[in-house]
Amino acid sequence: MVVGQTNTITASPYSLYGIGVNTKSSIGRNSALGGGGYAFQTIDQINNHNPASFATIPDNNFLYDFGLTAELSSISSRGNEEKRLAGNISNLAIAATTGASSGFGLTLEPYSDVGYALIGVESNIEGSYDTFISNIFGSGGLNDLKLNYGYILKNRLRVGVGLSYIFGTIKETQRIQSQYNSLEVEDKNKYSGFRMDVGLQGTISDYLKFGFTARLPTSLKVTHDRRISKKVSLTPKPQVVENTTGEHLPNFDLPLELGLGIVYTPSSSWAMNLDYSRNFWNTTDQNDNIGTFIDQEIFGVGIEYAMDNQSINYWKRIKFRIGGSYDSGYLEVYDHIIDGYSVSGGIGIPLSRSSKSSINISYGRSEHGASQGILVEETLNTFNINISLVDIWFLKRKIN
Amino acid sequence: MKHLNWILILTILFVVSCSTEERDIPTLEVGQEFTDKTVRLIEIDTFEVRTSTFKFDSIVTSQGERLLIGRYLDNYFGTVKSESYMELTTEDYHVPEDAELDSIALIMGYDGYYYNDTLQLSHIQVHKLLEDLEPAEDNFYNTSSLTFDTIPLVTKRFYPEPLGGDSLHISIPKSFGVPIFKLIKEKSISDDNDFTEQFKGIVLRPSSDGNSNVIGFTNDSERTYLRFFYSIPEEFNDEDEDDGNELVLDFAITPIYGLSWFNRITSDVTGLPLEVLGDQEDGLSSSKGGGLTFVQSGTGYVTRIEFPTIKNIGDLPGTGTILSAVLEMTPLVDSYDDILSLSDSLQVHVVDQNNELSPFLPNGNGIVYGRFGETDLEFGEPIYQIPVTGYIEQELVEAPEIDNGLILMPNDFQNSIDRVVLYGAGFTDFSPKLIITYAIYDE
Repeated sequence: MVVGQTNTITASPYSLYGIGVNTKSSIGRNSALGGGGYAFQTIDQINNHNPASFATIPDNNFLYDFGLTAELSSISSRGNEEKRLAGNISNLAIAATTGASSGFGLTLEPYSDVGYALIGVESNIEGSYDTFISNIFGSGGLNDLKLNYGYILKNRLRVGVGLSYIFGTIKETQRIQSQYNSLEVEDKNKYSGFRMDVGLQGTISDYLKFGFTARLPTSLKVTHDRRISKKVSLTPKPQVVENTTGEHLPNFDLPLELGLGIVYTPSSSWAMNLDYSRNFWNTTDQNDNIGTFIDQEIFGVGIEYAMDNQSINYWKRIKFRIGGSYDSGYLEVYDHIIDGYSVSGGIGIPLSRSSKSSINISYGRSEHGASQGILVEETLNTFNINISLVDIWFLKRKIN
Repeated sequence: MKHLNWILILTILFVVSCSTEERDIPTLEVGQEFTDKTVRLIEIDTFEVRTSTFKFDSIVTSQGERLLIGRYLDNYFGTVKSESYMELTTEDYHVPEDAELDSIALIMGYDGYYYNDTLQLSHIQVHKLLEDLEPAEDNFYNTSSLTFDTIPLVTKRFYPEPLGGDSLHISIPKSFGVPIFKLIKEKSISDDNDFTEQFKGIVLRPSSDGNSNVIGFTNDSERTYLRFFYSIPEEFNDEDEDDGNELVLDFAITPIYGLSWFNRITSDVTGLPLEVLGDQEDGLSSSKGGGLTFVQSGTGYVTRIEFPTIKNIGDLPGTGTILSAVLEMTPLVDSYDDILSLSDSLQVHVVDQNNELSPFLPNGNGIVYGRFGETDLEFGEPIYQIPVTGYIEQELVEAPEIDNGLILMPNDFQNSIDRVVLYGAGFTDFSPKLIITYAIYDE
C-alpha cells in the first residue's frame, strides 16, 4: 500500500518517542553529501549547519533556497512490510550580506517529525479472558525557525551565532474498542523554546577548511491539551469525559550537540567533506515510553566533483555528489539501539550559463532499526529537490 | 529582483497551504510491546448488587387493547386472577318498530395472548354491571372495582384457542335483551346516554375456583361485541327468505367515549413470601424472599436493584472512566416453561427511595431493555444482560447521595400477567452480577 500525503513526512514508528524523529533535512547540496557540512561556506548556496558560514556571503549577494523532499519508506516488522510515500517542504531559507565582513540568514525547516500508526494493538482486559483493541496514531512535528549571523573575525577565522525558535505541535490519538464501547484519548502537545548556536569556521590552508558548531542545550516548554471522549451503549454521540487545555508538562530537554567538520579541496573540481557530530542525550536523562534517549554520534562523508566550476561551458559546471553517513542512534528500545546508515548521491545543475543559481537533486537511501523481536526496520528512499537562487543586489547593469 | 519576490510570496503561500493536519498514515501492525502508552481496561464484577421486590400500589389497566380474563394458581405468585369490565354502546340506535329479537350472543375475538395451561377447561361468567363505568380518579387501575350482579347471566365453559381460534362465542339468554330491545324499538333509547342508563355494561370473570389460564381478547369493536340478532316478519313473503332478513344490532367497546373498559388484575399471595408486601414503599429483600426476586405484569410486582458500593470505584488507581456496565440477572431454573413463558426482554426504569418512578432514563436514549445474552442462549441458560452504564454514571456524579434504584419489569406491564422469578443476591452461582469495564487512561 502506498499512501500519499503532505506535511508529516515520516512514517516511522520510532517517531512515537519524544518529539519524533529528527528530520535530518538539509539545505541544497548537503543532502547529497552525507548530511553534514560544518565546514562549508555560504557562497552560492546557503549552509544552515554552521552560523559562521554566513560570514562569507559575497558582498551584495542575496541567496534564496527552497527545497522539497519526498520519502518512500518501507517499514517491516516480523515479516510484514508496508510502503508509503510522503512529501514535505524540506526548507525555506534566505541569506544576505550585512556588510563586507558579515552576513545573516533566516531559515525555516522541519526539526522533527511524527507519523505513526500502531494498529490493532491487542491487550488483555484485566480481570477477564477478553481482549480489547487499541489503535494509536501520531502526527505532527516541530519546526525550526533560525536566524543566523556570521562575522569574519580575521582573514582566516569566522565566527557565527544562531538563534532558533523551535515550535510545533505533536498530536497523539488512541482509540480503544471493547465490544460496542469505545474510548478516544486525544493528546496534543505544543512545544516551544529558543535555542542558541555558536559556530566557528577557519581556513587552515587553501585546500583545507574546518568548521565547528555547538548547539547549546535547551528546554522546550510543553503545554498539553487533552480530550477524552467515549461512546457507550450504542449511543450515537460521543460523550466527553475530560477536556483539559493548557496544562504544563515537564519540559522536554534538547541536549548539547557538537559538530565538527572539514572540507578538503585539492583542486577546483574536487571537494571532500568529513563530518562528525555528537549529541549528548545521556545528560538529559530522559526516557519516553519504553525508549531511553542515549548519546548519539553521526559520521558523514561526501565528495563533490565538477569538471570546471568556473567554466563558461554549462555542462562542465554540473556538480556530481556522493555521500554516506552512519548514525549510532539516540534511542534505545528494549536494549536495542536504533542505529542506521545512509548513502546518497546527487547532482547540482546550474540554472543558466551565467548565474550561480542552481537546482540540486539528490537521492538517498537509508536503513535503520532492526526487524527482529518487536522492533521495526525502516528503509527510506529519500528524494530531495532544491532551488538555490543567487541574486546580486545593487548591481547596475552597464548595458541594458 | 522582482521575480525573486514573487517566488518568495508564492512559496510562503505554499507553505501555509501545506500545513493541514489530518491525513492518512499507514497502518503497520506492531506488537503491544512497542508502546506502554495504551489505556488499561479492567473488568470488575465484585461490586455489591442488592435486590428486593416491591409492588406498585396500582397500575393503569384501562389503556391498551387487551381484555384479560382468567385465573390460575402460580407457585410463586399465588392465585392470579383477571376480570374485564366494559361498557358497550352502538353507533345507531335505530331498529324498525316491527322487528323481533331472535337471539343474543357475545363474540370475543382472541388476540393471541395466553398464560398458563390452555388445555384445561375454562369458564367465563358474564355478569351485568350495576354501576356506571366511571372511574373514581382519572383512570381505572388493576385494583379498581365496580358493583355487578353477582348472579351471572350465563357461564361459558370452553377450551380456549388463543392461537388457532378466531373468537369465542357466548350465547346470552334472550330474556336479558328483550326489555332493552323493546325500549330501542319504541325510541325510548335513542343515544348512548339513554342506553347506558338502562344497561351499564358487563363484567367478564373467571369462575371463582378456576385454575387454568388467563386469556387475552381484543377490545376491537370489529372483533369483540354483543350482538342482537333480530328479524322483521314479512307477511307477503311466505316462502324461504327467513335467513335472508336476519338483521343484527352490535354493541361494542367504543374507546372514543373515554374510559369504557378496564382489567381488574389481582393475586392472592397468602402463605407466600410476597405476602408481606403492602405499600409501594415496602420492599421484600431477596434474602427474606427465599433468595429470589419477583417481577409480574398486571399485579405490579417489580424487582428493585441497588448498587450500594458503586462509589468505591473512585478507589481504583489512576484516573479513568466506565466504558461499560452490564448487570446480569438469571431467571430461576424451573420457574418457567413453555406455558409459563419467559419474557425475552425486561424494561429497565429508575425509581427513587420511595419506589416512585423517576423520569430519568438510564441512558438518555429511550427505554433500556435487559435481554438474553447470545452466548448464554447457546448453552440453554438464559441470562438477562442489562446495560446500566448510563445509570451508574449518573449515580456516580450524584451528590448528595439519593437512594435511587433500578427496577425491572416486563414489556407489557399493564396488559399482561407475564412474570419472571430471578435469583437474588446471595446465590453463589446465579446471583446478580454487575460487570464493569473500567478504562484507566492516567496511571
